[in-house]
Amino acid sequence: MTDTFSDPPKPRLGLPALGDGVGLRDVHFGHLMTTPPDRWGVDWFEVISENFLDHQGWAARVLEHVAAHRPVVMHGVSLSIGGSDPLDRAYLAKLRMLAERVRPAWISDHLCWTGFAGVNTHDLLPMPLTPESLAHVADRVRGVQDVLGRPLILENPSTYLEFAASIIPECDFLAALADQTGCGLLLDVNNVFVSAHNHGFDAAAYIDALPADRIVQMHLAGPTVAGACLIDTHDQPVPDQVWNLYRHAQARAPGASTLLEWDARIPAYPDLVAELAKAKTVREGGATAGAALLSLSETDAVSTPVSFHLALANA
Amino acid sequence: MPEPVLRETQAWLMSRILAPCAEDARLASMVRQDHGASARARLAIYAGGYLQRLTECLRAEFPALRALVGDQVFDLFARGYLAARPSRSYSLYDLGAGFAEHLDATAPPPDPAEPYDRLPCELARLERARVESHRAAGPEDDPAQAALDPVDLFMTPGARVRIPATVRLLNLSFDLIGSLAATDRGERPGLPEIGPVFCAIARSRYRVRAHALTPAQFAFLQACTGGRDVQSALAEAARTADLSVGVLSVGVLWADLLPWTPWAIEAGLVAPAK
Repeated sequence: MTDTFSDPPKPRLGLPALGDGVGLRDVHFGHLMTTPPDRWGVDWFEVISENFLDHQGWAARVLEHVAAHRPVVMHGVSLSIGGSDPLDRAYLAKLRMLAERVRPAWISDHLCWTGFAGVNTHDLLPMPLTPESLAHVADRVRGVQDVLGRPLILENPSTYLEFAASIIPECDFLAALADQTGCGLLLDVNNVFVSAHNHGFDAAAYIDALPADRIVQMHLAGPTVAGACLIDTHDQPVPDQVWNLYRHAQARAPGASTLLEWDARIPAYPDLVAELAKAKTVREGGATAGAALLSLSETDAVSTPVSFHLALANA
Repeated sequence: MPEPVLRETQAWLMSRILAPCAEDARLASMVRQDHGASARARLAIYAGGYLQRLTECLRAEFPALRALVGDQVFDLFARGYLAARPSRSYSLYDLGAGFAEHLDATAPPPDPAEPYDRLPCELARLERARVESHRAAGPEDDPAQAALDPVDLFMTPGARVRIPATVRLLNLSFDLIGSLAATDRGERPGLPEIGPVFCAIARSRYRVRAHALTPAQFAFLQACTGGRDVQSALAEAARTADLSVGVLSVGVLWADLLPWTPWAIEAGLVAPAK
């Protein structure tokens, strides 16, 4: 599915351009295990790292099969790189062990914190964006990269509040972090759209402020309207506004690997692949029939959905 | 050490997520309010999302208990549990690990006139066992499992067996296996019959099932925990099997277990000891 570019995509941080992928979710395990890999219709898969740590059941067997046929990226939600608790060394050790087994193209997580004083909210919480926070996160990124032996790829989160203490725009914070630590960036286009709506900044200018040579990957997803805010629900098709931003982002970082996230009300696999195919159309300058935004009352959505964690996959 | 503003900010937001309050004197000084939604509405997205997200997690892990008691009661159980024992793990799969224990600790004192008071706790214990079985190292990739000969096990002196890590043995006070089956069919389970049920959760070919066992079978599997030679496991099982079925001799036990063992191997209840 990878596009034919007039100029081949530049490797960023020496990492490959993987093409277009989807998240590996348990509702699709049966389809993937019974369909020949040449009919999967995607270039690569992203897995939620925590779903496979400590797992020695069917999900581990599926991951082994998928990783034998496609590149895999490990995407985490529990690193808490911005947390003030010490880094969880046991978690990092398990992450490294999983990476040795799966051999991912890269390992990513979010610019966020997930808990305090040992309690985990399992949410991606916003950072106070200050010079001191930047120094703190940069130290921790270096520590994680030392353990994992590779550059960490960090994603911009969706946020619903900004702290009064914040004095650095998030895009500048990420750019400085990449410069100081050598980490890469996962540009979640939907998250830029959500946060720009929620906080009133210019989404395109945010993308323009990021260092293009560090944008290794992009995320696409559909958010939900919740009153005056948008929330990041991953439960519906990608709306026109996000496709337009994606076109802008791809012009800035051509060929960066693209991943469609869909974590709640997950459609059948062929429908997921059909939605992903729109990314190529957009990159080639075509128009998409993007979806309209739905509101909370229509979806019963929750931010940072966890449906992908839940099914027992008793296949 | 993290800088004070970071730590102070995180402590404040965490306290508001875990224990939302109607009025917070610090809200205006902590959260920007110069665009769109109010600071209170923004905070509510995080606080509401926290409870909704983790309650959904528990609902997914304990579907039979949820179906049995209904959403309203289940969510009361869940929110009480989350308040008493917030998650301290990087993994959401650990979230339900203490749920049965919490339900047990918060149940009314034992009362023979109210035998169903213990039902939520027992059903939660059974459902948690099922989740653990899904994730544990199973017998599927062990070539010795496929080669295990049930007759050899009983006839070969010194033959050793174990129960795989995917097996959980539960001595239940209710017939809950039917409750799980009804839930898996999408039906609401009725009140189960009261009475002792010896149950094993086991995994075979990555499928997890609940099995009813005889007291002798249950005692034998218990004796095999951790790896054991078959003859000494039989002797211990004869001593420990439920006496309501009468005193068992090793010979009687042997005769009971021999025809059952091929099925037990196939169901993933027994594996060769390493």
